[in-house]
Amino acid sequence: MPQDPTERRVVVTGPPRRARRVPGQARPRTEIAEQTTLGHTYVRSLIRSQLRAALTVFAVLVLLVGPLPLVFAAAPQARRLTWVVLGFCLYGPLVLLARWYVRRAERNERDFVRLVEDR
Amino acid sequence: MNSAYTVPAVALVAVATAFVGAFGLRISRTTSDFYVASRTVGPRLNAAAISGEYLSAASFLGIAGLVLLQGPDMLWYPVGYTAGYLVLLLFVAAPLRRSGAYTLPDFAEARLASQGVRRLAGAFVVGVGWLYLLPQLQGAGLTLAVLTGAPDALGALIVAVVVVATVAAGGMRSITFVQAFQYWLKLTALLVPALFLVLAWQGDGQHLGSDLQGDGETVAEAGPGQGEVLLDGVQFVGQRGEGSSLLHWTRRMIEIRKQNPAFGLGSYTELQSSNPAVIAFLREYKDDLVLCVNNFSRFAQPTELDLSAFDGRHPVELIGGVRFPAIGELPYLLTLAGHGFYWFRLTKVASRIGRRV
Repeated sequence: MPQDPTERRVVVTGPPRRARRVPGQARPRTEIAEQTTLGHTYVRSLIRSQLRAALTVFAVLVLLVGPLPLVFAAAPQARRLTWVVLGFCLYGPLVLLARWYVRRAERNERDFVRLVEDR
Repeated sequence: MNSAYTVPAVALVAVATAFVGAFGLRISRTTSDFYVASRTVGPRLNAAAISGEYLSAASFLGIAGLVLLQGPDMLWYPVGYTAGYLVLLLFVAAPLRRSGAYTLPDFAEARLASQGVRRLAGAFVVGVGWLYLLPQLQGAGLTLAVLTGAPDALGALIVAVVVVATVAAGGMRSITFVQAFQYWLKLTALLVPALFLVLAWQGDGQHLGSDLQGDGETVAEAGPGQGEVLLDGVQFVGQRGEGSSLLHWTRRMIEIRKQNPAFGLGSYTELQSSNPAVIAFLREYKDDLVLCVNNFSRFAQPTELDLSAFDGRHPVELIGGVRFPAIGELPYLLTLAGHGFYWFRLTKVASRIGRRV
């Protein structure tokens, strides 16, 4: 350890936020940079979580839109219902889905950064 | 619109586009600047730019026309675009941004580590761009030719020069500004007439009931309705008596469309026309039978229509209420002025005599 012990004590007592730039201490980072098996696992976990979020939103989209033709075929006032749903109502849920996905993806990234920086 | 206003209007839009593009110019030029505007474009601006791309004649008029012809099921098209954007976000845009790649071929190569895939993606991008640009340039040329009588290639040339100059000089930042600007321009150009039509439609609704109960053919006598009550503050109402003002003309068209439900609700059958510049179609709803004939050429055109199925009926021209000669076994001959059209109601002779007595 090249750093003197007094500085390290400050780090331990303070909240572990920024002063973590001690070499050898940010282990996950070097693991990732050196592409070890462990670093690979870290990155894979991030990619996996992002893919999971995308697939979840896609599944909700399919479940939301897929049954609509059946509903229109079964409904008595199909023309009116088609106008209301396809013309107006469907766009709100699509925007909400997109927003949920973006927030989820950003949170995954933040979690990953925290994991990498804090360990 | 006469062409006295058209040339300055087209010039104004072209200059404004170039100006907005110049506004987006940045002196420091990096790859990131050029491709992704150094990630400085916010969600609102980006949304306006993408919407500007999709708010076209094809999406606005095309979908309105499809809904008119084939019913509300055609609303699946805009739903498809929107859901497509969501899927694009999930599986292309977000991973591409995270990867740090700038273009799809870059991304394909980075992800699949293959030069061949990169070339294939590049070929697809160029192919899609080609297919997209061809009708755009053709449309630009056609529009300018129809509006001003300019040679066909001029519109395409103007668009190509303005867009290439903007992209080459300003990159993604400039083109985003330009597209956002065009979005608001197009939205205004579509919303103002739409709002005007809705107001006129609402305003003319009041005396509709009495007209519908009466003889649908006496439209020539229908005087000015209550529409001007609503639009009283509008400047050109003063001209309403003359029958030549835009307001009067629009109100007249709306009146006619309201008196003949076939326009909005009827079935659609296209008729064989002997002249390719003339499109004729029938719309039928209950006992209301309307024949529309449109001349898409700049010049006067004759056409012959096979109307033998309606032998013995009289076409009544709806705007003036004039009765045309009866339909016989032979093809029905019509001549139309340049960009002219007819709206006929095909009336049965018997019922007309019955109503007269």
